[in-house]
Amino acid sequence: MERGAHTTASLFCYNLARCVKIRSSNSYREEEEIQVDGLKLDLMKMAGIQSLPAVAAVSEKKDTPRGTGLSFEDLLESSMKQVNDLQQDSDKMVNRLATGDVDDISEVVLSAQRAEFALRLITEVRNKLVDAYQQLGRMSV
Amino acid sequence: MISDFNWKVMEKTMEGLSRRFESTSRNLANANTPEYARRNVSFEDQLREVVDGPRSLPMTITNEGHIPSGPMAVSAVVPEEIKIYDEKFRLDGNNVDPEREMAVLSQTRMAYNAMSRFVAKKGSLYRLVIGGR
Amino acid sequence: MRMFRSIDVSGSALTAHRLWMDSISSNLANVNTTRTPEGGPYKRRVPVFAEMLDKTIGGYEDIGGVRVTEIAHDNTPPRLAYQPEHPDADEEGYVAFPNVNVVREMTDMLVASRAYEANLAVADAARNMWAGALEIMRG
Repeated sequence: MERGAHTTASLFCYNLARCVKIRSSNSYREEEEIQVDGLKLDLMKMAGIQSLPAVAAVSEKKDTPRGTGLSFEDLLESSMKQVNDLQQDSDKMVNRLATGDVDDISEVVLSAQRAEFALRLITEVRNKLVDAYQQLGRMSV
Repeated sequence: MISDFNWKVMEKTMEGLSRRFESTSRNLANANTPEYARRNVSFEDQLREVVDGPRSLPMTITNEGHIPSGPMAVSAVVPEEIKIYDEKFRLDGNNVDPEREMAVLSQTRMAYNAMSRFVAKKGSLYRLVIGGR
Repeated sequence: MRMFRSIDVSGSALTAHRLWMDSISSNLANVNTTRTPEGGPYKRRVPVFAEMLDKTIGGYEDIGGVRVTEIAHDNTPPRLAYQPEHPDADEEGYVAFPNVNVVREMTDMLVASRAYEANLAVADAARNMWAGALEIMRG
């Protein structure tokens, strides 16, 4: 019974994760392309569901025939770095505005908007991660 | 978080701008006072030293009691009111030009609005990250 | 500050045109002044406008605005009128009146005030553009 449930859940997640990998193999590194539901794969890893070989192959950062081997963890890490960089850029622009060294305020505004959107997106990803974790916890196995 | 560099710079800028606003409105009030020299508040150059780093080589301090040239931290930036003596002035010794003061007033107000918007935006982002929803 | 260059330029134009209005009103006020401290009749005042170059290094060096370099005297000969009973008449009975033409001054006044309004509109538009850019961030 337990094994059956694991199989279904893991195959479901494996398929979703393949979607993530296919997208990442097209070198879409932007956060907009992240399939939020693919987080469940990492959550299963966190919850210790490593029993099936199919799941194991995908959750390790190995090269699959289709993808570039880009795992979701790498994507998340690079996204966080990008969010931080955008925030730093926006801060620098505002500092230059304070000393009067900008040509037009629209540069500063747009830089602040880019930083805001990136931060909002990654915060939403974090929220969905927490939700999914809680949902998994509620799953009756 | 609250005392990060950018936040301090924004605070200091708003302080300097409001001082400039006061000084300019005092100039306008004294537009007809004899022997009155117009004033302005200067803080951008000091702030630029802190933000960009000093342009020339900074002085090496051999003793901690020695005063380094230029401000080293945002808290050391002090907006100061300076009197400006133009070469052209009216017969009564007053050099206030109402149009120029109005232009400065308008610019100060615009810069203050912009800075307060950026502070608000940064605050809302902090709230987003803390609250999460 | 580079971001406020537009308002600085408009501000310089407002100052210059206000000085022009000042000299026009002085001319009109003194249209019949035959006595001046320098001797002779009042001479028409003309402001000389010069381009002001912005001295910043790098960037657009030729956007600075306008300034009045001097308020010059118009040296065209005065208008002579035959009024022997006038206290300032010379030996032949001619009085030298200022070289101010009222119609010309009124036309100049219209030009100056229109230019002033136009520059006010520029300053206003610059302010609106600034506020518009900040509106992007609202919400």
